[in-house]
Amino acid sequence: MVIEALKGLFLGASQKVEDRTRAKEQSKGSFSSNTKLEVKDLNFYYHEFKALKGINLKIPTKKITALIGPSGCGKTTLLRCFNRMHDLYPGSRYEGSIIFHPDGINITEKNIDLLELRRKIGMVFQRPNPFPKSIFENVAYGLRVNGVKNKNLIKERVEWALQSAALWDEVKDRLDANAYSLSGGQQQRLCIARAIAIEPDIVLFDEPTSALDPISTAKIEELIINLKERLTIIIVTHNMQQAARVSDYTGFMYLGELVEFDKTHKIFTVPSQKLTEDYITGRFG
Amino acid sequence: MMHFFCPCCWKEIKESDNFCPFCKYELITYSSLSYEEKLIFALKHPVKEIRRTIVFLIGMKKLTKGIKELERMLFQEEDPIISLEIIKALENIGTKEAIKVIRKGKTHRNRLISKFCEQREFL
Amino acid sequence: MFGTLTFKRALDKIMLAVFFTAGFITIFITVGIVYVLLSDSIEFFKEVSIIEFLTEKEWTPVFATKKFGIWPLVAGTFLIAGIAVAVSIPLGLIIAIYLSEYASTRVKEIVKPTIEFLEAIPTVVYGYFTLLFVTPLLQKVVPELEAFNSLAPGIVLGFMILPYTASMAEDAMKGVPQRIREASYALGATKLRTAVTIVLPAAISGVVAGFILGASRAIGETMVVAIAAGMYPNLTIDPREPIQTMTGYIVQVALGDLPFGSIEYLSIFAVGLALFIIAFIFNSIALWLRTKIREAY
Repeated sequence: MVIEALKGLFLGASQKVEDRTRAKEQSKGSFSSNTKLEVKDLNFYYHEFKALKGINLKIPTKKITALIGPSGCGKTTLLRCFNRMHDLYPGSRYEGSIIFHPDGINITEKNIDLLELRRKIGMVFQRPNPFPKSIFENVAYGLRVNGVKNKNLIKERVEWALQSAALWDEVKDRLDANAYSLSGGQQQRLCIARAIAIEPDIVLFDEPTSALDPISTAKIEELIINLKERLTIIIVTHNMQQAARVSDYTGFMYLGELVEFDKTHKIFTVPSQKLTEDYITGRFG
Repeated sequence: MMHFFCPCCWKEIKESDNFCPFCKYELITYSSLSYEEKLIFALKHPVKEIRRTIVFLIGMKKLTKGIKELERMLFQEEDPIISLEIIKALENIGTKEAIKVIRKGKTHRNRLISKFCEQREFL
Repeated sequence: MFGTLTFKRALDKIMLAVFFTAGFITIFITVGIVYVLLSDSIEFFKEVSIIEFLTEKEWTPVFATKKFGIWPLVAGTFLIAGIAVAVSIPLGLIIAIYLSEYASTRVKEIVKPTIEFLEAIPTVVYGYFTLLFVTPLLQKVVPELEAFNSLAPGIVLGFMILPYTASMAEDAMKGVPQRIREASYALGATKLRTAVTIVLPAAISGVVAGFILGASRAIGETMVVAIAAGMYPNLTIDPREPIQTMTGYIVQVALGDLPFGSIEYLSIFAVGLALFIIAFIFNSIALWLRTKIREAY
């Protein structure tokens, strides 16, 4: 019920963002496609190990794309290519391209501005990882990183982000409390608020509910579905039911390859690959 | 890292096995099965999470062939969460036969489940 | 069968006794030290009132008119420790941030043991190094710097306590979970920003604990100050003048030929007790801060 009310609340706010995006797209002229990320022949190496092999994939705009597959199949590795998180560690190497539409930037390019990229492509991690700061400062951090100094604007954006993450009502009276005083599910929603506060184009979710109880999981799933009105979402999950419930598109990965990518309904009701069938029906995992 | 299971007895086997060393199931038979048949096989999967997903998918796919097995499961399944998932799946399938099973569910020994079935009747 | 069991039980008891004794020896020694300090200090305070000890501004136990005001020694001690900390904290912080956030594993493998090696150098070496090398060098830059002063030993002590300030700060920062750093990078933050606004505050109690232990070490340091700071109890804040620290005084008297049981001799126990109390307070704060580290996340 609260969530319904909030949905109404942030629809207004999201309208602005949408208008802006539309204007941007129109100014780009002929760009009409609804592809947000276009992965072409992507190989990824971690030292000598080839972790991703020839991935080709188009991530649609403002849809939820799920990546599934057994552990070690490369789904998280692929996800972390999109915001170049691998670059934090030595020994990572990319081949091929990931085109970020509508600007047409190639994400795998050596010299791109990684800070700018990560501002546009946010991330929510497997385990809630709030900063050891207050609830308010956690959400405000991204804004401060982006050079927002106006206190009122920060306040406004923090409130908006917390509302969008369906957390506002629970924390509005204790914004100064330490983020670690929240429950696991609340912490994860705080992390979502933190990620969306800077209005990224895409948010990457890396098994966001694997450390949470079923009720918190349901809340996060609902939240993710609501967010797709405004953003493109890519979610890695080991929980197939979650992928089937939440996503519009699903990619099945196995041993570093993308075996099958299609509409979620099709992947789960009429998969085209035997391997996908066997994975879904639990023959291996 | 990766685990393989016999699709018949669901014991862990090697990827290279041609026959299940436990129940002697011939694995080549499995690969010739249709996806629908594989789904129905998987309803006996030992991992709850997967069993639940399979029930969900049978509902999603409106797989009428699965109704019989779902009916059997409804009264044998230990985990009430899965039983509830079964009722939701039957509802999704929505054929007369499926509704009939939900009606039978009203006599389920678990109050939670029988109540859930009763509530379905209103819809 | 039963024999071995009896044997095992006996062995168990013996080992328990060994461990128990080993553990108790440390406590016993500490208690013993406190007892000696206290009993001789009481003798001292029978002749010199605590009020004089704490209010008098001069310390002249070997002069004809003996005055026993602890403050010149305390001031000397804290002046040197202050200089040491002023040098060591900024330097230690920069080193810690560099090592934990920027340095490659190979650089770390070389730099960290090198810093910790500073602790292994005998302090007498530091003392003569200060007196014969650092002071003359500083005299070229600092006007009116005397041969014995607090500036040079203060600076040298600042480097000497880097194993506490830099190394412990680095340990604390390294203990901050990687996923918290990743969260910051994922929002488009730079390395420097992540280090200064996320990692350092998260590790702050450990970092400060290192600083306090470093300061405590500087306060207790004896050899360097005895050699290079002078032997002149001097209530001053001018780092160019010779001074004497509490530890320096104790060494001077202990090595001298003052009669056993005399008031001058007893005074070193009073000074020692004061030093013990100061060090105890510092270490307690550091310990308390270190237990707080893990509470944050």
